[in-house]
Formats: sequence, C-alpha cells, structure tokens
Amino acid sequence: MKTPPAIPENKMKILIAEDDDGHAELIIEGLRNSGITNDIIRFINGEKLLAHLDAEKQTRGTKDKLRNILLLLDINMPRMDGVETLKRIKEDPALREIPVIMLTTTDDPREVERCYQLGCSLYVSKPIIFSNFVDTLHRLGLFLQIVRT
Amino acid sequence: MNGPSETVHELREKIIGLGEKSLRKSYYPELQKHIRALEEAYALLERKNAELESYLYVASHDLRSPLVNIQGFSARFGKQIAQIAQELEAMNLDGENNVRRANALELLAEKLPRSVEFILSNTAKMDSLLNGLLRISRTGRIVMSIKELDMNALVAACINTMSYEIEELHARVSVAPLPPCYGDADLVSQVVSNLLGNALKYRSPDRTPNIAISGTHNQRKASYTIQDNGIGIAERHQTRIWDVFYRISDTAAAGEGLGLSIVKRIMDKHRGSVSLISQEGVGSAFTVTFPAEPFTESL
Repeated sequence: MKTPPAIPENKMKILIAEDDDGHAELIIEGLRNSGITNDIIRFINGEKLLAHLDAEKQTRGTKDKLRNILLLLDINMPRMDGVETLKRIKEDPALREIPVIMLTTTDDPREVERCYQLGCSLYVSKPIIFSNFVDTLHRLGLFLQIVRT
Repeated sequence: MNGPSETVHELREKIIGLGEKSLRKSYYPELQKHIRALEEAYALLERKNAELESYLYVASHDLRSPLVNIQGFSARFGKQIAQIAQELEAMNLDGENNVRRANALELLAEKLPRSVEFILSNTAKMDSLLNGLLRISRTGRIVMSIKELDMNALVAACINTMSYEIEELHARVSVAPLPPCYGDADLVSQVVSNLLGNALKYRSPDRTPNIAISGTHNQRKASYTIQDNGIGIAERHQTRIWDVFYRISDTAAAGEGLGLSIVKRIMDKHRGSVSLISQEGVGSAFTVTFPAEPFTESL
C-alpha cells in the first residue's frame, strides 16, 4: 500500500449526499480507484449535508473558502431530496458558488432540465462510469485542485 | 384500434345524434343522464390510466436503484475473485496443498467468473427493460403542446433526418400532399420517424425498399398511411405488436420491442388511433389518425 500524499491546505473536499449505503460505497470506491485522494464525507440526506455546510459557514466565516467544496447530490433521498438541497444551496449567497453534481438513477429529461435550471454543474446517471466522470470533471475545471496519485 | 377516449367520444356523438333526430323531448333527461354517466366513466378511465402511468414510473425508477447495487457489487466481486486467483497463483506450495490450490484456482479462474458474468449480463438486460418502461411512462406523462401541424413539413423533416439511411439502402420514399392535423409536434414526429424507421428496418432482402406516404382527411380527422414493400407481419403477430417488449424475432435488428407501443401511447394521447394492414412477404401499411380540429388534453 502506497502512502497517500499529504493533503495540501485548501484542497477541495468532496461532500456526498446519498441515502443508499451501497451506492455511497460504490461511488466513494470509484472515486478512490480513479486516483482521487481528496477528503470525502458522506451524508445520508440533504438535510444533514446542509447542516454540515451551515456549521462550515459558522467556523470558516468567509464565502471564498466554501468554494473548496464539491457536492455530489443524489436526487431521491428521504427527508430532503437532492433537487430541494440544490435549490437551497443556490438560494444561499454563501453557498451558491459551490459546484454541485447531481447523481440519479434515471436520465429523465425533465429532471435533468430542472436541475440545470436550478444551477447544477453536471448531471450524472448511475451507475457512474468513473473514467468518463473524472474526465468530465477535468474538462469542467472542477477538479483542478484535486491531487491524483 | 380506438383509444378508450375515442370510443367514449364516438358513443356520445351517437347518443346526441339519436336524441336530436328521433327521440321525443321527454327522453332528453334520461339521455342526458346517460351522457353524464359516460363522461364520468371516461374521467375515471383517464384517472386510472394516470395512476397506472405513475405506478409504471415509480416501479421502473425505484427498481433501478437496487439494480445499480447488484451491478456495482457484482463487478467488484469479479475483480476481487481475479485478485484472489492472482495471490493464490503466486503461492509456492508443496504436495497435497498444491493440489488443493489447483482446485481452488479452477473455481476462481473459471466457475466463479462465469457466474459473475451471468449476473452482470442479466442485470444489463434488466436495466435495459427498466429503461424501456421508463421511456414509455415518460411518453404517457408528457404534457402536450397542441397546435396545427403542417404535416408536409413535419414528414419532410423526419425523412431528412433519415436521409443517410435512405440513401444507403437506395430506398424510394414518395410523399403525396398531406393534410394538416392537430397534435404535439415532437410526439407526432416521433410517430412518423418510428413508422418510417420500421419500414426501412423491416425491408425485404429481395427488393429495393419502396415507401409511400399519403394522407386523407375529413372535417374532424386526418389520416396518414405509411406503406412499405417490406417483409410484412404475419396475422398471428398483428394484435400483439403494440404490446410492450413484444418482438417478432429475437435478432439484434428487431430492436427492443418498444417503438410501436410508444406509437400506440402517443396516438391514445391524441385521441387518435393507429391501425395496420399487412401481409407477410408483401408489405405493411400503418395508418395513424389524428384530430383535424383543436382539442385539449384531458389530464
């Protein structure tokens, strides 16, 4: 086992809201297998993720630093689903610049349209093909701060 | 093949016609009662239909989620089996242990990967079936934008998108002047493209495809026929080709068995109909009938 490189300060942190344990495990494993060493934190619904972001806002204080976050939101979650979470993030001036990737089990054109209208950066259907996914992130410039082994 | 809505509408017309012509005025209240009952039955049908669409959507959508897990973890299982095989391969064992290693390797290198392959190919199949159901339920739930359609332009555009295939096959496609109709441009294009695509796909290997598109109309309806000289459809299949996932043959060219059931759905949504006249070995003629006057979607 190789020792992972030290995590540089300001490195992008990946927050995942996903209620399904299996999906969450597969996503995290897929990201790790693609060489992504960033911190990954998983939440079981949108509500928990927003609570975490609120706490970050309190401790970090400035809006700039909250940009070092990438969000992956599942669409179907109990309590607060991905679309509602996306909406709230885009309504909050301190959070709205955080890039958000929506994850879904379908590619329903209306759902895709709604998420893009709300301001998501990318919409990905499960199962995620990680080679394509990571390439797309690079093209979108979303992973510039990510260290790959 | 009438949709339930069309059946109800036609019946209502008949009752009204009868009432106007031949019945005494005293029958009118009873007649009105019948009409109301019919309208209620129609509304109930529409509601039940919407409910079914919603079940279909939820079932196909929610079933995909566990499938993603089965797919993902089976793939991981496959990789891990290969890793264990590699580790075992590298071990240096003597005597009886070597025989046992060979037995374990046989399982790991042949039998287990074969099981995983079966699981994965079947989840892929299930995935494509669920996607098909999702597509169908989506078609049913689309809110239509109904306007008068210039069918000459719409059909020409559909032919244009298929021009590469038409030229490749040296197919002849002739279009007679077509009357306008009312409908949702996207959905009507889907119907035309689907029928045209089928006419090309199910061509006869013995002759150049010849497709003729024509139309007729009266005050209330406009009908369009797409006639081909393809392989045709045997009578025993003709009532079942509208069913979801029904395929006449299981060759790759036969498609997923969704096209015509989507056509049927779109026609129902338009309070229209689709019918077929076909002879095996000679060709098929599909006729779709749309309203020739404005209408509103009932849901």
